[in-house]
Amino acid sequence: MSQDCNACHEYQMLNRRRFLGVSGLAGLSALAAPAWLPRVAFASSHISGRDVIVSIYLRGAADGLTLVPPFGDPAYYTLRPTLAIPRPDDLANPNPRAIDLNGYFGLAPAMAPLLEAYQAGTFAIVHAAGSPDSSRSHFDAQRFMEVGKPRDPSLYTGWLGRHLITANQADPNAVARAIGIGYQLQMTLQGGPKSLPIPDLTNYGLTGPSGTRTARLNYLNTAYAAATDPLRASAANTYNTISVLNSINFGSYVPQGGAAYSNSSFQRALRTTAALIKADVGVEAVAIDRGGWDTHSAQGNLVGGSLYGTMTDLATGLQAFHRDIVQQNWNVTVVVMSEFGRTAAENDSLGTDHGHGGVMFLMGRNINGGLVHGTWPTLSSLYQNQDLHVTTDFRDVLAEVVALRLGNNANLSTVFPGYTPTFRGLTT
Amino acid sequence: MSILQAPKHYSLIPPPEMKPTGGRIPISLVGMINRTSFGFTQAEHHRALAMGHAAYLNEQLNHETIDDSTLNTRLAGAEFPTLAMTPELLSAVNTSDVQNQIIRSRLIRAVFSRRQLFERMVDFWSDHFNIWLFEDGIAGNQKTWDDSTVIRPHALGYFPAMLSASAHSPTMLDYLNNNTNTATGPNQNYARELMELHSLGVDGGYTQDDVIQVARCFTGWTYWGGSTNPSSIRYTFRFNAGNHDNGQKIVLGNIIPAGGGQQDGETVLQILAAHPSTANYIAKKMLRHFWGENPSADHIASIAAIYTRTQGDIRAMMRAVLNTPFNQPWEAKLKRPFHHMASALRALSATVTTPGNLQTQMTSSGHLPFNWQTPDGYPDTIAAWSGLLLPRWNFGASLMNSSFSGVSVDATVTGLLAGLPAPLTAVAIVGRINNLMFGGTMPANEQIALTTYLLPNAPTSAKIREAFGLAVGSPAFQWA
Repeated sequence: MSQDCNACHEYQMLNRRRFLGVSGLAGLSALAAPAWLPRVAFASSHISGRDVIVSIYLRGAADGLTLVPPFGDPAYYTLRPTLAIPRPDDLANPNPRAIDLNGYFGLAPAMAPLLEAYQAGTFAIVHAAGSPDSSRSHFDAQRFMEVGKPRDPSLYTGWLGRHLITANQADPNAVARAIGIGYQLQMTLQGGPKSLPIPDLTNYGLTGPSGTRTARLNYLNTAYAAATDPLRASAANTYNTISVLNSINFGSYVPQGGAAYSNSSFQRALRTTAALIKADVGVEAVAIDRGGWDTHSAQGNLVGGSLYGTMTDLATGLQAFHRDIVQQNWNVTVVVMSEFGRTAAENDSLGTDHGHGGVMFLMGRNINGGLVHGTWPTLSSLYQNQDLHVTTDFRDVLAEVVALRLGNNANLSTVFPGYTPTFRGLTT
Repeated sequence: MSILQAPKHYSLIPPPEMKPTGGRIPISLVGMINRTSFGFTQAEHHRALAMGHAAYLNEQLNHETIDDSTLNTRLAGAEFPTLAMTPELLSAVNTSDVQNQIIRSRLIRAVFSRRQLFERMVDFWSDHFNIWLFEDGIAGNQKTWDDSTVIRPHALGYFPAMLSASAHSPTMLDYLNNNTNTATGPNQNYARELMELHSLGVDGGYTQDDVIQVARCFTGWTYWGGSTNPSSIRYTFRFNAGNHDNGQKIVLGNIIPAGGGQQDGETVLQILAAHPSTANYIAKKMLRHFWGENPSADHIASIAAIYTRTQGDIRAMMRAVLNTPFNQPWEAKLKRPFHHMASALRALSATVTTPGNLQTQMTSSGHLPFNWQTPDGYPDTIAAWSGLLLPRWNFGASLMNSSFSGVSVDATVTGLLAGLPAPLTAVAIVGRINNLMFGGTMPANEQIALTTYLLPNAPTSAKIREAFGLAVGSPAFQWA
């Protein structure tokens, strides 16, 4: 099987890179390179033609009508007498008001940190976006989106995993093509080659007595080479990835552009992802989760509330990543999605229940930003009499990124089987 | 070059969709012990050999007959004062103390209970009726009560009784927001998960309208708050008639007449428990946990038929799952990280005086008990758990390096190596590891690799301990 060969190949490449590292190439760059860069720094041109993708999943069904309030739609205020974000011009309202984006849509006050990227033209919003499937199950809806096709029980790989299967490896030296920040590899990445879940990039190594570490690793490498898949492939990827991650000094990484990441787990994931991208070790895709969006009661859009805190973490994290990565001209596209939106009307617990249409975000220097994309279906006509309609299929958004930012237009029918996407002009 | 060629590693034809599995394996007595316990031990193996396969299974299925007094004495002691507390008493204890005790007792029970199959069932149902212990709300203090009144009494009992107990559990009602589900402000969260996750399964044939109707039936199902008098009823189930929607409902085609009060919810529970989708869903989930990920439709139907015939007798279903005529060969099951850790502690006869020192390890493996946030419970697939191997490797090293204070393994001739002739040889040590941890089924290549690790010099005690640690991280020890 090819995975055997891949494992050997990876190992050889790693050694070759080490050789390059001590033989001059890195010697030159070491003069200028920051201390956190891997000692094995090498030419950084492998991926210049393709973006690294950072896929962020908001688990629990984020309330798009709060994140990006449609303040120009009068029905919004009828449906949400308590929870609606006040209009930007509602000066009599004592609560913080929406931040006007285009006279119709706004950002929730907690999302204000994203205004900077929006105004820079590198942050785009797609409203009334989501899956056409009617499921209101978190788990089914997440699965359908992550595999890239609703209701196909025979699909066990994710859309991004299939992109990686079909796309030429961007950096021939890379031993890790995708990393899912977490304990389980996200469904989005399942099936992809050289893809691993890693909870914390800064802490990924074999413990125990250092004197025998190499010998113990060699034992594991030998034993797992004969193991059954998926353990065999997973062990080979682990073995190779340990070396790469340990060559990056995450601890002394200094974010650029005035980026200030907090110590939340989401922002630590973004910060270490930024360091990983700049280390240029050939990782093509990173999946990050942010939970906490299932706001059935007391959702708390205002300062001190639950949703306020969650939105703040999302927005300040993306702002930092924007300054640190996008503003520094790294070729990175960020996509942000959630399994579905929430009911258009608030419930009597001051929360919202499982809905349908939601909101997606895109960020990157080649994103057609500063715009709210999509077709607004209005809230005066509701899906199943209770939710925002979906007018942009999530696959239209993701397929455009795969085709035009990840260079894999040829394989869209594999990445999104059974679907012919329409590009919406989200990329430049 | 004039012809554009795809690089070698570029596959033009996508590979077929393959669900990751570990393949199929014949099940041996060693394998059966691994499937019905938190890990093989040599003592259990000898006992099962002496009793015979059928009698051993019968004993494990009739867990009440197994003497567990040593464990119970420990659980009743000063280490775990909250386990037997009532809701009122639990509410007065520091939340973190209650949380730590239920987590630590979970590990102690998994490792040291003689009712091993029962503890595996507790693990299974704790995921099925998952409650996140760290949720804002009452779970931190009150999950212990749910554990002792919902999960444990019914783990090998009758499913309808467990479903009903869960529906009356204050912690579950709080976790899934039913305490805010009222006639004027219905909240669908519990109603949906009750059908999707607890009974019918997501494809079990209910509609969004059923969710709305079931939510109406459960309006007013809540618990008495923390300032109620008498204090003895605090955090116990309460039907608040004033918040109940007394209109007629139609659930899965059944008319529930107006004016039913609390009986509306009770009727829903009966409808769900008797529904063929529930029989199918529970049967499938059990097979996936104990037999393998891809049971056939016939196999599932055979277990579901027992559910229907016995009105949800979990013990009868498990007897069939474990004695299944489809049992040659079984599908490989990857130990989940908690199972992996417990199995190492069991096989190596570890002494665990301070289980709290293993909590960080459980967290870093992604499998701290009761720490799955969403109501679907920890995943149960190879694909979910095969990616993160490093904590499994590191656990072996840390355990044998005495990194967990209060957790010890005696890997010397006074302990695990007792009876081996001096001088100790690499071959003899690996042979002992094979017997203790694998019941003699350690693959030859892994034996050779481990022997090679111990050679060429006479093995030092440090190196012997490392060899045990490596065996914990070895491929074969990951499979149940």
